[in-house]
Amino acid sequence: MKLSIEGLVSGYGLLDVLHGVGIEIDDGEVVAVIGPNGAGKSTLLRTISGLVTARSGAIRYDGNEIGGLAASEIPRLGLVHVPEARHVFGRLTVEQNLVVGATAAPSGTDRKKALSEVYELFPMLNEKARDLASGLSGGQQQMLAIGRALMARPSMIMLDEPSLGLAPLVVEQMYEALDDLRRSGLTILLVEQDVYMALDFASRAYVLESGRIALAGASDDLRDDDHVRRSYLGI
Amino acid sequence: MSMELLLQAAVSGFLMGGIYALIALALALVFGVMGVLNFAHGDLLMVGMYGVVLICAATNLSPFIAGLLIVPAMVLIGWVVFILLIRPIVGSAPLVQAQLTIGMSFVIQSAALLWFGADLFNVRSELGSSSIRLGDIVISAPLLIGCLVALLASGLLAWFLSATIWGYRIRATAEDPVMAQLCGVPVQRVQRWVFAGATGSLAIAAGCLMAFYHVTPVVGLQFSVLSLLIVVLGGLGDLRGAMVAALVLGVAEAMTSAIFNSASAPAALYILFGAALLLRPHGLLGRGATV
Repeated sequence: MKLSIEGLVSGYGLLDVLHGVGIEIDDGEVVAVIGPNGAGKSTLLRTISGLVTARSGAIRYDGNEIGGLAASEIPRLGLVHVPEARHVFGRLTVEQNLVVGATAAPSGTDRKKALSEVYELFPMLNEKARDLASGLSGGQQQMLAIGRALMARPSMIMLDEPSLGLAPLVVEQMYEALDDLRRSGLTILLVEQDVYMALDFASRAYVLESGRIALAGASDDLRDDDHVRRSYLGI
Repeated sequence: MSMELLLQAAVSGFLMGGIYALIALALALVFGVMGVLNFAHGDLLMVGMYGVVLICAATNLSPFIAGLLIVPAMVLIGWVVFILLIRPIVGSAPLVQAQLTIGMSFVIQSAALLWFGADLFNVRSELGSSSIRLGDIVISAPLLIGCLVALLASGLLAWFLSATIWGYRIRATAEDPVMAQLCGVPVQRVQRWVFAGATGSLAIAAGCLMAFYHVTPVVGLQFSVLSLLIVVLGGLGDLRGAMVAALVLGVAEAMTSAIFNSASAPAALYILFGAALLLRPHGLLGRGATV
């Protein structure tokens, strides 16, 4: 088991957003979390990556409890969060962004090799290596955000709404790159508003509604599920 | 009013501006990385200036060397001040931050008054009042060297931020601390080192100042106000803007002193400051924060 979450309760201020969520992801698996806005999908990822402290429940990564760890410690374990809206460092160059991403890489990692692998996956980043990240288009910034996460040499990444606001052609390109990563054995937890895309890409999915797991199963089964078809696929 | 006198004032003011730049850079960096506007900045500088006086009195070294020697002590002071006072207010309301750092300023001033009294201290350096003549313009040697040392230190700082991995991490932290954490950057440790390092760089500035200036317990306020003006004028958190603003204010201050009198210089600075902000509300270079 790569990541296993049990009875997770989490939220902000007086408000609980997640009311006892449980999910499990195997090594090398690609799992999606879908659900309406405000269901707690981003809160789930933010709690796993330590930005929000869990109120109760267990978060085990590679068998170890990571619940109390600082947000800067968790990527060092190989679990990297690519947040919604990309958050590239606009005043740094593309390459400087990638180098900052390598901060969490295990000691002794060959940074040049990691860089050239990211450039191989996203050749556009190599062309723009010396440009300020603020000058990139939305799609390019998303690729940079993913490339920056890969610089930490993760064994699992969590992607929050990677296709949000991007042109269909760019989304397709990005998913081709993600497909390469999946085939290389990377474990991926994907939060995606584009439910078609999510169910196509992931082998399993959880449906998160009002802070609870409403439904879970193989993507193919969910695609045929009445509730999913009505609520998320508009059929 | 002769042309020579004005030119003389401009040159001296420019040299003084070079030292202001180093002082203001440290303040701008702290603001950029942890969002705290430190009103006790000049008082920390004042502590460094007394340190230089003590070292020079004990060893007869040049104030520049003395400044270098007290860098570790100032880094340590910055470290302790960060842990005890600054860390708890990172992310607090600006008013809370102002209250705390202004309070800190009073405490440091009072401590200096108790310890050293209200007397004016200066350092007798071997450079003394030697000067270089360029045509009709006389350049004070200690001021010139002070400016060069300060510019060198500022340049080193700029190089560190723009060309080293820790520099990237510091700039990433300044821009988006949450994302920096997700990249594995230990944000609190970065903030602690930046505050300690900025305080340490004040030791260099203190050495430069003591080559020709004096120190009293209230000198800190003057430098706090000046560096706040510079940082705001440059565009909060914009390091290059602060550099330019420091040189502009240095020249403006010296020119007003020459044309009117030295008492009117601070008033003139505020008038210039107000006018500049009306015309360029986002700072001289108008780019906003760019640490």
